[in-house]
Amino acid sequence: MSQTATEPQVKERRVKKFMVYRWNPETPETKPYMQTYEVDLNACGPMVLDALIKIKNEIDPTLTFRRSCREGICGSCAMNIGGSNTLACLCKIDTNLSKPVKIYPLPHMYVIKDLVPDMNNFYQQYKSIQPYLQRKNEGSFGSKQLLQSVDDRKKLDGLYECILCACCSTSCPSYWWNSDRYLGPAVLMQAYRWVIDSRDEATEQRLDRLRDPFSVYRCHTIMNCTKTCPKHLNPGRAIGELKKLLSGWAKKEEAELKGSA
Amino acid sequence: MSLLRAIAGKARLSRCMLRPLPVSVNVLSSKHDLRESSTEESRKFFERNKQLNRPMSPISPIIINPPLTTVLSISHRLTGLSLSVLVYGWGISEIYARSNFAQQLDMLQATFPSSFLATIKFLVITSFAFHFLNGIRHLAWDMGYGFTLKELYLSGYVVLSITLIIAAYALSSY
Repeated sequence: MSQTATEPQVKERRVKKFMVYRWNPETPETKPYMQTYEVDLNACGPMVLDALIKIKNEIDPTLTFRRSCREGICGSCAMNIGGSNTLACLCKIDTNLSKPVKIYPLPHMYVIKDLVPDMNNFYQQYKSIQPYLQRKNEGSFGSKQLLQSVDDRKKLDGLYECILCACCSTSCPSYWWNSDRYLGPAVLMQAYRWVIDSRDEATEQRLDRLRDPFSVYRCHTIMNCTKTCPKHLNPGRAIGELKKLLSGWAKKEEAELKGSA
Repeated sequence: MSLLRAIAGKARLSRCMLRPLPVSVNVLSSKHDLRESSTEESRKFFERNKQLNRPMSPISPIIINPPLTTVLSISHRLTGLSLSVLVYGWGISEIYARSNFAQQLDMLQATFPSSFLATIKFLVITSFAFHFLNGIRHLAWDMGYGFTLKELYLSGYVVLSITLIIAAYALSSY
C-alpha cells in the first residue's frame, strides 16, 4: 500500500474571519457592535450566505438575517458585504484569509435586529406607484389576451427582472437623506416599467403622480444604483428615461399592437 | 342568478388582475400634494421606528471605500459649490467695492504670499476643468446617453485623466 493512500486526508484548515453587525432589540442599552466569527472555508459553501448559515447553525443561533431562495431570485438576503450592497447568496467569499469579511445591514435603514432592516417604507413606496396593469375600459378580463408586439415586449427587458432587494435604493445618498419623499432607484425603475408598457393605458396619470420636486428629481445621477445592482440591471438609466418623459424631451411610443385576441 | 354570479365574478377578477383606472381619485387626492412634505405612510413609518428606538444602520461601509460613481458625484457638487461661491461672491461684492478690479488684484498680491495665490489659482483651474468636463457627462445623461456601467466608468476615467492633464499643465506653467 502506498503511503499517500494510508494517510488520513486532513486538509489544512482555512480559517476566514467574518465581522458581522449585531444589534438586539431586547437589549437596547447595548449599542450596535461588530462580532467576529471564524469559519473554516474547507467546511463551508462558497457564498457569504453559506457562511452566515453555517455560523447560525454551528456557532451562534442568535445571529439574525433574512434568506430564502439562496439563488438570487428572492432578494431576501440583501446586505452590505465588504463595502457594497449585494445579495449574500450571489456574493463569493473572498478567499484571501488575511482580510476579514465585514457584513452590515443595508445602509441607512432602521434595524429590526442584526442584519434585518425595516423595509416597510420601501414597500409602501412601491405600492404608491401602482405596480399593476391599468386599462381604460375594463372589458371582460381573463377571456382574451392583450396583444403586445415582440419589440414592445423587448422594452420591458432589463426592467421586469428586478427582485426589489433594495440594494440600489440603499446605496443612494439621495435616498439616505430623503427616503420620506424620494422614491429611490428600485421603485422608480418599476414606475418606468409600467409607464412604457405598451399595454398600459394610465401613462399620463402615472407620470403626473411623479411630477413634483422630490419623487424623481432627488436623483442627481450619482449612479451608485447601477454600480451595485446584484442583478446587473440599470436603475439609473430607467430614471434618466423617466426624466426625459416627464420633461417632454421624449414621448412614449405608440403601441405596435393594440386590442386583444 | 347566473347574471348576478357573472357580475360578481367579473368584479372579483377586475380587482385582482386588472384594476380599473382610479382617475378621479388621482386628480382629487390630497395625498399627492406635490410631495412638499412626506406622505402619511412615510411619516408613520419614521415615527414608529423612532418610538421603537431602532438604530440606523451605518453608511460608513460605502463612505469609507466609495465607488468611483460616488467620488465623481460629490466632487462635482463640491467644485460646483466652491466655484459659484467664488464667482457670485466676488461678483456681488464688486457692487459694493470702492476700488476697481486692478487695485483689488494689487491688494491681493500685496497681502498674500505668492505661493498662496498660486495654490488658489491652481485649485480654481483644476476645479473648473473637472466641473466643466463632468458637466458634459451630466448633460449626456440628461439626453439619455452613456448610462451603461462600462460607459459610466470609461467617461469617468476620461474626465479624471483630462483634469489631471490640465492640472499638470497648470503646474508646469508656473
